[in-house]
Amino acid sequence: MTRKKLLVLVLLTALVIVSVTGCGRPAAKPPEEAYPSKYITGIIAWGAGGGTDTTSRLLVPAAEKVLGTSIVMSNRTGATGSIATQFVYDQRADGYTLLFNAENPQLYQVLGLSPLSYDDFEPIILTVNGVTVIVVHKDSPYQTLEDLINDAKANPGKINMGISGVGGQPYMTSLILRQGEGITFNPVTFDGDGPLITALMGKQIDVTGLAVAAAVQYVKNGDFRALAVVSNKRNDSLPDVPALGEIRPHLQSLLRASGFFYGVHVKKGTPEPIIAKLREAFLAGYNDPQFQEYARNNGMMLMGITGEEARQFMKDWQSAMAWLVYEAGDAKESPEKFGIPKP
Amino acid sequence: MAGMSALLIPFTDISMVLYIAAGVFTGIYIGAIPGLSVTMAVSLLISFTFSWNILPALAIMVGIYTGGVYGGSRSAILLNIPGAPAAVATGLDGYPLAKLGEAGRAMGLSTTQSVIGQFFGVGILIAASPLVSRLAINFAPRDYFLLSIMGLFLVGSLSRGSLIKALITAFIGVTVGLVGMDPFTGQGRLIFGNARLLGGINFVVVMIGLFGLSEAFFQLKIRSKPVKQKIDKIIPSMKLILSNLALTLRCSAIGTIIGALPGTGGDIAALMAYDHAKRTVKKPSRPFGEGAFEGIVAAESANNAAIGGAFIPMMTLGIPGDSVTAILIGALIIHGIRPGPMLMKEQPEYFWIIVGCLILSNIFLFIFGMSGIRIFSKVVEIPKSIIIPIIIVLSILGSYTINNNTVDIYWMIAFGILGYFMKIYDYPVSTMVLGVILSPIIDSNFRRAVQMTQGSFGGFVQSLFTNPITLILLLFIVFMLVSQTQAKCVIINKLNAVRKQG
Repeated sequence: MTRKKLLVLVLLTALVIVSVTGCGRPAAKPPEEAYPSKYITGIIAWGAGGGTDTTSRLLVPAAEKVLGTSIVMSNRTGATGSIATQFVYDQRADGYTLLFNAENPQLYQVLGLSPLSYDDFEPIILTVNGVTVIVVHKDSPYQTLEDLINDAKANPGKINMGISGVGGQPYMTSLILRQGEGITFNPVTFDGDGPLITALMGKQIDVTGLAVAAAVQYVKNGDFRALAVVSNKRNDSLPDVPALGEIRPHLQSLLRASGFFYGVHVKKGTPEPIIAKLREAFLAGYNDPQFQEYARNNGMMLMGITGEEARQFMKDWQSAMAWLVYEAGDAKESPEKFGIPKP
Repeated sequence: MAGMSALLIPFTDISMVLYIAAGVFTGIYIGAIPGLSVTMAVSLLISFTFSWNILPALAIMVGIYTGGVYGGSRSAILLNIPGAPAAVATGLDGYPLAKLGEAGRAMGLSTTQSVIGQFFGVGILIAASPLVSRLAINFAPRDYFLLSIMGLFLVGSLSRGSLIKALITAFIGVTVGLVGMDPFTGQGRLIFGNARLLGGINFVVVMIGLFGLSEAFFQLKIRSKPVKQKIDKIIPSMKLILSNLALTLRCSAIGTIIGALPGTGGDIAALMAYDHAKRTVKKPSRPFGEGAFEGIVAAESANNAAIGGAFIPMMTLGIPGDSVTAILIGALIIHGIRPGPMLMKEQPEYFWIIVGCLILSNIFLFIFGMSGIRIFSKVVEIPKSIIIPIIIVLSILGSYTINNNTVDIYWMIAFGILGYFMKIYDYPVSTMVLGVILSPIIDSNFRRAVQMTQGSFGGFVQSLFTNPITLILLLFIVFMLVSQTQAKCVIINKLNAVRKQG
């Protein structure tokens, strides 16, 4: 009886150990010219159904055709995407693990979330650039952005602005206004666009910033009033809403590289021929009519940039936004420490 | 009621009927396996149904959603391992019933109550969507805070014997729920300088460890023989259903409303309904926690009613009611449709198609739920040497698949060992899971509510009394406190003393 029990215990322990340690990766290193000789893993840094997820999944089918292999997509969420970013960084630089993430890694260092940034990766493609629109409830006294700014000047820190956490787009919008107009809001933190929409509908907040795609239907429906698009150019989805850079020209330099962007990246050190192949594949995904239509319908600006151009855009973005966060006093570390130039 | 004729589309298109049937069937099994969740299944389906037409994709997703919420109760009843968080409450009385040899009856009852609950939820979706969505909009952070405080009262309902022990585990649960990145500032909390803890500890991992692995260890320790199951009476008698009808409807209403609130889902709905049953049912068939049918009635009607509830804000406002509807919105966006007020105006037929899918899934839920119970009952009779390794493998598999992360397996094992000792020393594990579930809701909403009053605590307290929904919740909490604790006796004694003096 006891011997039998001991046996069961030993077997169970062995089972646990084997199933835990058995998850290692194969050691074979394929030659560059044979790439891709097996399936590719795509790691999405954000949850299923969200913007990063949808944009990433729409890119993949056409890219798979060009590569002649399948790309297995999985979501690895948490800690503003830094868990996924770290995971991809921990894999081999062989082009078999791709990172699908948004703009967030460019702020990880100053926010103290991770030592990584896009400097540790090679951009395959930056697909779209999204913008935020400043919205208020339809019953709000603010008819224009001017009204909001004037009231904020009269009552500093009294207007409740819904944000989605430090580093999120509504938060960055509040910093742009703070830097450019010298106004401060009282931030109230919600979990993202959906909860912000609910809160604004219930008049629990006075103003917020939403991704254009998320806001359009409420603006068209008359529930919300859009005051300005946080960009230098108007957005095709909301052609009647003025651009922030248009009514406040002195903010234009700050808005040059702003908003959020989605892209595909591989670890730095991946051989150039592999990067070239991936670029070709994802450009095909980007040019796919289904992807283009999706981006247009959701108020995103098509980028489609790769290589040096993409790297430069991300650098400019990081320089502008990291300093903005730092000067607002919300950064854990100074951008200087990471060699991020002042804009 | 424009576009109402679209209600019949799922019924008249044979391929949609088949997709829904397949969805419900797979959903039940996915739900029954701990760790494989509906959320996961639906997100997998996004890439799967990518090139399909929108209607079949929608049909299979709604089917899986329905089946999956129900399926979680199977493993909760048979193995004391909730297949999904929404089934935590079902296991409280379901597993004791299985130990009494009544697993078949418990599963039969869970099926009928799930079906009734889901019909109730869908009924509210059809009849009162605008009303409920108005409530959802006006439900402010302070209200979520009060609701989660009410949820904490469950510690009393879930404790077996010692309240102190229940409070200790609930406290640990709340603390575990706080680990990770602060949702507001992005800074790490309780991570001890370890960046790998930034992502927090997934509560499903905690649940699988505490219920699944620890149960396997515990079964090794106690030498109980598998219980022979009675399988003659699996369809609950009309009398049992009718005598519980009032409770079923009350719990369905709780489920629908909590499901419709964007910040809470089926797991909290089922627990709140269980708490409600325990407070209101004076003479349960057996004491709660020892196999009361009323416990299953409450939990199962509420968690399936929450499905209809979750669709209310999704369809009328474009805001997801829970994690599954969040993914459904993403899936619809891929297909070029964005749920919300504009869709309701321009293409109301989508609303009715979803209603049709829900009704049809519910019918299949009854069919698939009732068939196969006899075979399922045998699970309890499987010798331990076979079932325990299976439980362990499933626990590992389940915790890994949540985020494809091996670290989650280690956490699961750690909580499994903790749960084993908790069981030996008679500390309840369900209160700890409750703490982990409620912790982020309490934390975020309390801070949000104080932020809304510009950081003034006085302003926060004032806001508790000056808003109608908040005031009702507050009075409800006071009522619960006074009526169910010793405060009641103290007050009555005082009153009597005053009367005597007078």
